[in-house]
Amino acid sequence: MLIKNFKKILIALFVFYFLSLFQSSFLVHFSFAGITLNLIFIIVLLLSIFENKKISEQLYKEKFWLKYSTLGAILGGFFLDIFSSQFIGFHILILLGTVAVIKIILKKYVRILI
Amino acid sequence: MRRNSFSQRNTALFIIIAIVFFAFLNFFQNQIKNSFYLISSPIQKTFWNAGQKFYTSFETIYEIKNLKIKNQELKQENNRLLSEIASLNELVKENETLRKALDIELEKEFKLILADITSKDTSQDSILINKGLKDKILNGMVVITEEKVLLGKISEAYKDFSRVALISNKESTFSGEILATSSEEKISGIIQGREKSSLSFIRIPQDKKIFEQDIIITCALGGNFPSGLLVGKIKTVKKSDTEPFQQAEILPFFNIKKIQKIFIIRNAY
Repeated sequence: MLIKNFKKILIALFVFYFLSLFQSSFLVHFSFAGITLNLIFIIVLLLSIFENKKISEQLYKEKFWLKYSTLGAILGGFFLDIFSSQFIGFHILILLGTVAVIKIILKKYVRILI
Repeated sequence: MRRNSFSQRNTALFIIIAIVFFAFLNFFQNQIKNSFYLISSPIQKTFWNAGQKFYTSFETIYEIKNLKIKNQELKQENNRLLSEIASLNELVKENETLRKALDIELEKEFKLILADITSKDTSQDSILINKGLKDKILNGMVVITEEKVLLGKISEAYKDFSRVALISNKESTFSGEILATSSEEKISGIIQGREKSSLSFIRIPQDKKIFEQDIIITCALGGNFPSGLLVGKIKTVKKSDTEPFQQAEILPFFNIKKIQKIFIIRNAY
């Protein structure tokens, strides 16, 4: 179980590292009105909105209590901090805050009918 | 229920540990960042070059329709510059005569260090370059392009890399003046970074006349940058009778997406 999750973390680590390099060196050339597409932020946003309940329950059963969105926020935020002029932890806090806000909104105000 | 509270407790504990861990990492921020930049620089360089190529190609396609108008504008500007060169040549001769008469040494040229751009911060106007403390780069050194256009200042120097805070960075403030011929009155003000590659020219007295397309250069007033470096052109002038000063929006001369090489001035003053 631990190895399985370790693999997932490792894959996420490489994906976020690659994305941070891609957006800081390639996507900056295609900024519109000075705004560059932040792929890491979009991915974390999508993860926290569409995080599969079944997967979350599966992780819960496996006693892996860290959700994908939280993991994404920490790893993605870390790489964003490395490749920016901010201190380490700045983007992590922003992304964790975003995930928390989305989760609260989804839990309190959104009801999905199946 | 019990299990749920256990999970929540574990998550909270993990987040606290993570915050403490990342706060601790900040003590070694420079070393950590430098190591990551060192490992990533070949990939970043490839991405940067690819991005530049793509951007140039797209720009060419986009600009084709405006080519005729631009050509006309350039011809007009060329004529204006030719007349300015003629008057400047006169001034150079006059200057040389005065220097000889006063026995003043010719101004020493800048000592420059060549560097490449590796990446750009997506949230702020700052860039990363491939020269650092190892190459005798220090915080506060001035960065220019090969056309003597002011780019910014070294804000953080790591072992092998440095971060340059561009003049359009929101924390950048320095003195500037409008490029004027000897007969014209000097108009100076403060240039402030507005992020997203834009600048503002503020604190210009209401009685001074400034126009669109006026060229802004640095002046030695604030002591931040050497005088005479090109900054940009006035894009729009904002004047209000209720305000004590007028201000203008500046279009910088540099375009980070197109710059190949940059220079760091070692002996600015």
